[in-house]
Amino acid sequence: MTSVLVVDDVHASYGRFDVLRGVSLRVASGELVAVLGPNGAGKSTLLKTIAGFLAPRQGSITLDGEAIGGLRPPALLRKGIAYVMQRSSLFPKMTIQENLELGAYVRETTDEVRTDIERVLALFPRLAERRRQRAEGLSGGERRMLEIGRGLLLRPRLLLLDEPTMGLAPLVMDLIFDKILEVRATGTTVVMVEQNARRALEVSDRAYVLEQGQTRVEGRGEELLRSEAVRRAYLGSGTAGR
Amino acid sequence: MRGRVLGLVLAIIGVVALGVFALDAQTPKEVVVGVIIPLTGSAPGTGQDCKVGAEFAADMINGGVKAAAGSALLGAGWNGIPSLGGAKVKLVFADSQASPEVGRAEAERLITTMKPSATMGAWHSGVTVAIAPVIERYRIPHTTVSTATELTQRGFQYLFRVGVNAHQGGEVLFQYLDWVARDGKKWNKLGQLHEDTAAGVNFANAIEEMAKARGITPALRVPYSREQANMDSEILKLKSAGIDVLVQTSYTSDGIIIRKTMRKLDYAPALIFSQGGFDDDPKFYEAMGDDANFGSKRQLWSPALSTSKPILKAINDEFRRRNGRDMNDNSVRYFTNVQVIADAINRARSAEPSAIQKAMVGTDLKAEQVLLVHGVKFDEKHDNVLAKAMVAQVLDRQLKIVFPAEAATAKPVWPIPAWSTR
Amino acid sequence: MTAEIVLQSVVSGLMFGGVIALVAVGISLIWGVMDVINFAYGEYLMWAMYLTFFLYAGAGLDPLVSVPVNALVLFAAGVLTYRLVIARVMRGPIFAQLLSTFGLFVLLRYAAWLLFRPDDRQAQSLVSNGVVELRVSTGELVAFVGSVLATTALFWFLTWTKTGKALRAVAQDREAALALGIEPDRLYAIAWGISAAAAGVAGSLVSSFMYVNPLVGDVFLLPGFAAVALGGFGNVYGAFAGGLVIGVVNVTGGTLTMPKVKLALVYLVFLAVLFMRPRGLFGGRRQ
Repeated sequence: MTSVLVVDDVHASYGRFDVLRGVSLRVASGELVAVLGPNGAGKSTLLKTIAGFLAPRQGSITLDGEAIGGLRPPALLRKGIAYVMQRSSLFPKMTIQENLELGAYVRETTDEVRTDIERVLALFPRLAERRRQRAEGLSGGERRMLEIGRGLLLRPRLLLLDEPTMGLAPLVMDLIFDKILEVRATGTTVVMVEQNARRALEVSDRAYVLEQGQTRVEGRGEELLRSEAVRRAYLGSGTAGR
Repeated sequence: MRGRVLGLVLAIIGVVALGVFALDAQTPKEVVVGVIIPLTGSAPGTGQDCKVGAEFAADMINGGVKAAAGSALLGAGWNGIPSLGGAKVKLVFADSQASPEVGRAEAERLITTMKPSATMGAWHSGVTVAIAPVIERYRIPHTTVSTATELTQRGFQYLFRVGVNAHQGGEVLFQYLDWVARDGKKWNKLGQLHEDTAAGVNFANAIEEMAKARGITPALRVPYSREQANMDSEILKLKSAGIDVLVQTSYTSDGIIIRKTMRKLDYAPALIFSQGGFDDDPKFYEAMGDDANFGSKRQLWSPALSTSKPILKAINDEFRRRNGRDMNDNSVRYFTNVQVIADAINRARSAEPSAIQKAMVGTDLKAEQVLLVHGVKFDEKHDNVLAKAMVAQVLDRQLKIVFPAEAATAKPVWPIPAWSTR
Repeated sequence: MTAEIVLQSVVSGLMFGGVIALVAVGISLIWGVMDVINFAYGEYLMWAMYLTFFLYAGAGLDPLVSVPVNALVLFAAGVLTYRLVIARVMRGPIFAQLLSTFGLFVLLRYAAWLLFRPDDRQAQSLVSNGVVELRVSTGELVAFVGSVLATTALFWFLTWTKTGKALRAVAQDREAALALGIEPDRLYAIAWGISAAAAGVAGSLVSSFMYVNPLVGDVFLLPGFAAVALGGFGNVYGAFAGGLVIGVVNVTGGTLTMPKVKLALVYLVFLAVLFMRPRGLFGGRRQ
């Protein structure tokens, strides 16, 4: 198994607060890996650290064998890490087209970029219809799709998604998960933080469960779904989502 | 006995010697006179005119102007102040930068460091108003030509106004209007356009008072601040109100902008009467060319007066030889300022400011003794009761006296021709 | 008060408003991109006028010809200002930011006072002295057209170029832009350069009919801010429209009421907008 991403015993803090206290995970090329856990476990912080918004105090992060811990976002973008924030990060007054163009900011503006935009729009037909419309007029689901699509404009080595279905209606959530699967089908490696543990486990290859800044559980998606212990601790009884 | 006589003789010699030295110490070699004028700022040409006028007078008093010899001008034929053993008048200049704050600071600096016996200035009424309290506090006798009425309303003991005040200057406008009316010229509405510092406001107030006293209702008054660049609304307002007799107080830059805007918006009243300012500055004439023509102003001097005062021609020729241009209202007024001070110092027989002030109160100079068209005599408020003005009009880019008839060198053009015909 | 007079005042107001519009766009750009109010903006314009004057007095350069020269020199000045001053204070509290541009204002104004003296100076241009059919002076007309062209060029830059889009992105969401590899620091420097260049262009354009002295910045700054408020803080297109409106309020308002209050009218409009519709006529957040 070729690892695209290796996170080894990473510690990170916000000021005095130690959020990550020894997280390790690995992601293979082409995998869809979910990162789960209760609130405050450090899931978002983990993605931020991988994306370069936070520097690890301890431990290492490597991408295709190259150490990248401590590099800043612009450098990591050039290495092919695309990061979709938890909060809405579109440029509201710019059109879908313009938002996508900016996704390829660190690349040379070539025909390749233009082709990629068409490809992404083919992946998200609802966006294609409205490509000249401003981002602020889109619904929640459409925004998420645009954000993911914009991330893809990087032709990323690794796509990091922070709670892609947060705040969306169930039907829309399903749509987003479908799209994520389509993205993975194109060969993109995806790491996804999710609150919706059940659905996340259903679609991902493997998953990690974090608690209090440390890796607690690791395993294949279906295994964890079927595990009694996991279900009781993290999935609740019979709840379909949060 | 012999010892006591010797001692007495020595004592007498000592006292006499002391007295001689003391007398020497009391007779200065020069008398310092301060001049506060706008050497830089919005009207540097004006400041330069005042400066050369003052220097010319000082030179004459110090014996350096042969052209003045034999004339009745006060100071002609002198070789320094006579009663002070020929002490030379030394002028020291301070730049007000056309700003009241700077003027005040500079006046204070000049007085405390140079210790002048007298001062003059500051041309801009607004600056003069600002420095007057400083002058008064340090008790330095001071002459000014600024017209702001308030300068003589506040009880200043040390300030003396040598030129016309706002009323005296405005008086001639109404005499002129009466005179042209006898020629059949008609007009409808009197309006005012003035900058909003002391000079403009005081003159406008005086005009309003005098107009009302004559049964004329001023139709419109448009004050403006000099800092703005755009005069379109001002001129449109005047045009829209049908103002055909316009009284204007402006300094050089605003004067130029206003005239250009009048041209642009095609506004030509029958009469533009200015109290002086922009139209005394050579820069205005340079910038406007023919567009400077036909404006009228309150005028205090003209080389043409030399027909009645021949000495004026000789003096003006000498001035022109030295400075490359004729004298004008500004250089003449400052020339006269220096004369008045020199006269007071001479009569006081002292360089002490307080003695000079007392002498200045009793100034009584005839018109022949000064360059201005009128003599100098102060009333209890220190206005010059003899001050009066003439009216000049710019014709062929030059100021020519048009009123009163006995001083006139040209016939006035009324009304001002429309722009399209020029 | 005839219709002709009112119409004339509107035309005159638009001419003046064109330049105010360019000034407002310059102020608005910085405000929109980085939430900084540049109190010294009028002083950049003043220095640009001095540069134009000295090029004229020294080398006989017509003020219109020095427009591109001014644009380049002022661009550099803007970038320098950002790097030396603004970049540092942006990490500090908002008071530091306000004070720093106020400090620049004082520095630039009184340096000019010291160096150039308070005399009024004016350059002469080919277009200084003509009058056109509409009763507009050629100088003003050229300034209006020049301002419109400059603003159009700026809008084109913002809308169609990669850097322009990146600038807009940074203005709308700095963190998201950073996540896409856009370096805000570099773009802020560019924004300052463009903003200052706009002041440079405006300064050159008005030099053909206005006097320069160390205080001339005031003529533009206050109406400029009123225009920015009117257009919606940070909305550069609104700022342009706001500038035209303020120009007309200034001249037409002064003509209809009393010329002395024309600046007060501008302030009234400013206050009214802030109270009643703080987002400005064109509303919206930053652009």
